[in-house]
Amino acid sequence: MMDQRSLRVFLVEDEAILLMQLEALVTAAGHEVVATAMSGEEAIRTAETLDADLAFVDLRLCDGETGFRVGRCLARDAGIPVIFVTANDRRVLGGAERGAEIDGSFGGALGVIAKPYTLHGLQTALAFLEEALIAPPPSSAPPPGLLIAPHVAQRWRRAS
Amino acid sequence: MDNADASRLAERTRAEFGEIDPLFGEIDPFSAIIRTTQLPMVVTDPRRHDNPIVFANPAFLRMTGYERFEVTGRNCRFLQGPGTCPKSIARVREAVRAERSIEIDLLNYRKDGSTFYTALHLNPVHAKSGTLQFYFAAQLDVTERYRLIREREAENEALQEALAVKTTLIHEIDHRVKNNLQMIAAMIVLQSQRIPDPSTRASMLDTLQRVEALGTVHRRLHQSESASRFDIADFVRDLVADLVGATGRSDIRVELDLASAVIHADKSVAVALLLNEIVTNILKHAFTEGRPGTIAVQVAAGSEIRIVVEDDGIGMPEAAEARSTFGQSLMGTLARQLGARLTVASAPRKGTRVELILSG
Ligand SMILES: Nc1ncnc2c1ncn2[C@@H]1O[C@H](COP(=O)(O)OP(=O)(O)OP(=O)(O)O)[C@@H](O)[C@H]1O
Ligand SMILES: [Mg+2]
Repeated sequence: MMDQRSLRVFLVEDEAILLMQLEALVTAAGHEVVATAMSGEEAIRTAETLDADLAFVDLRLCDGETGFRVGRCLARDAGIPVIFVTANDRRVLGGAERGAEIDGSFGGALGVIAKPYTLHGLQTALAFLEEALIAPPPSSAPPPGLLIAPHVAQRWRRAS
Repeated sequence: MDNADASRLAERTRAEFGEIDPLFGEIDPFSAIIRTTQLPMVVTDPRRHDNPIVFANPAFLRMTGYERFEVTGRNCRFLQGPGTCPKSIARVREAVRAERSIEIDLLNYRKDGSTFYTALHLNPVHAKSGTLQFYFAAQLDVTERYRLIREREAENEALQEALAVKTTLIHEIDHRVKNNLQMIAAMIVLQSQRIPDPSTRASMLDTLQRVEALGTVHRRLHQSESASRFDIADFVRDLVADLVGATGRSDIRVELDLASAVIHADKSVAVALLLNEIVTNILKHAFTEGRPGTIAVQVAAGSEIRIVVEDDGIGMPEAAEARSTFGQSLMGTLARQLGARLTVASAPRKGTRVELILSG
């Protein structure tokens, strides 16, 4: 579906040092960081004119809905695959807690990376996503640090 | 009480009280009992229009606050009010219509407008011929029971609220711990990228791996329901996959034989750091110069937890144990913290076997 070798990546992270690390990592892997946002508002504004193949969205539990809203905005409205990066993956995966905002469909996100991730975990997740998005279906299972939304994982399994 | 008992009792009562009942107009042996009992009772006559009260005992009058003349001749519905459950009223009405008995709690109103809960026991009284003669209603004041229920409900609600606040707080703190660990790791990564000297950079990456091991502990801890149970098996799986994967080498095989071994959160960090040292040592020292090999990890849980990490690498040099490195002293002190037995067996070219025994 994409006639290219590298991904154009959008990063949403409100913690400076984590944003810097993500930028360095994405760039080192040969991809391009097309835009970054450090707040939900900035992310939604940026999304309107964004041309990206993948977005990493930090999901903050504390400021409530913002992360989910950004995710919906990117995934449903702009059609950009979203990976939630979250320190509270149970909230995203739902079920375990009452009041889970996101059900088993991952709120429209493609996948979830749980914090704290390791450097290698993030690198392998990115490598997997590169293959999965540029030449789907991916030839291998997603790495342990990356949880793929069940309906997408199923589609890939059927296609391979 | 069967019929024979009843008539025997009636005989005795008649002998002792010998009263004329105002309602039935004849000697009624139970009249005195009904009049003195603390249990509020009424009798209604369904053969008259609108099923009116034809008898109410003193306990009933005390409970409702009415005078006898105010209740006699009226249908019982005057006891109901806006707070009475309409569904319950409908059920009583249906029972009366069907000439069935019913037991039900109702909110009733006294003459002064105050309310009380009553447990109504309503029974139709049929004549021998089968025709309906009376309804007999006993009513117990159960207001206290309802007050206690409401009190308990309010207490529960307050507890639920307090619990919700606490849960939110724990999530918030958990979130911060994980985010901060992530940031420490990011700082080390970013800073090490600017260091030209390979050995200094390697040291930074050793530290990164120690911090990442801590991060993995916290991620795993908070994935468990109580955030206080830590399964060594899960951790080993994550750790080994990550560390071996990070070497980029495909000539290192991994054999895992892991039984679930749950320890308390208190011990999780020390166990994780110890395992990190053991596995990073193997990856750093055992398979040098392109030597392929296998890492085998075994976790067994019985009265004590036994963890064995084995490699078939080059083995430790004779002098290694005498050297005082950071890794060495960290492992020794962690084992001491855990009250664990740590034994290392190694022979040149035969590999290394590290055994850690934790008392449960
Ligand atoms: N699995 C192993 N196979 C071969 N040699 C090992 C193994 N584990 C340890 N060694 C030897 O033991 C020495 C001491 O290990 P130790 O972990 O204390 O220090 P280190 O890994 O060299 O440095 P650090 O302080 O960073 O851990 C190592 O230098 C290495 O020579
Ligand atoms: Mg070491």
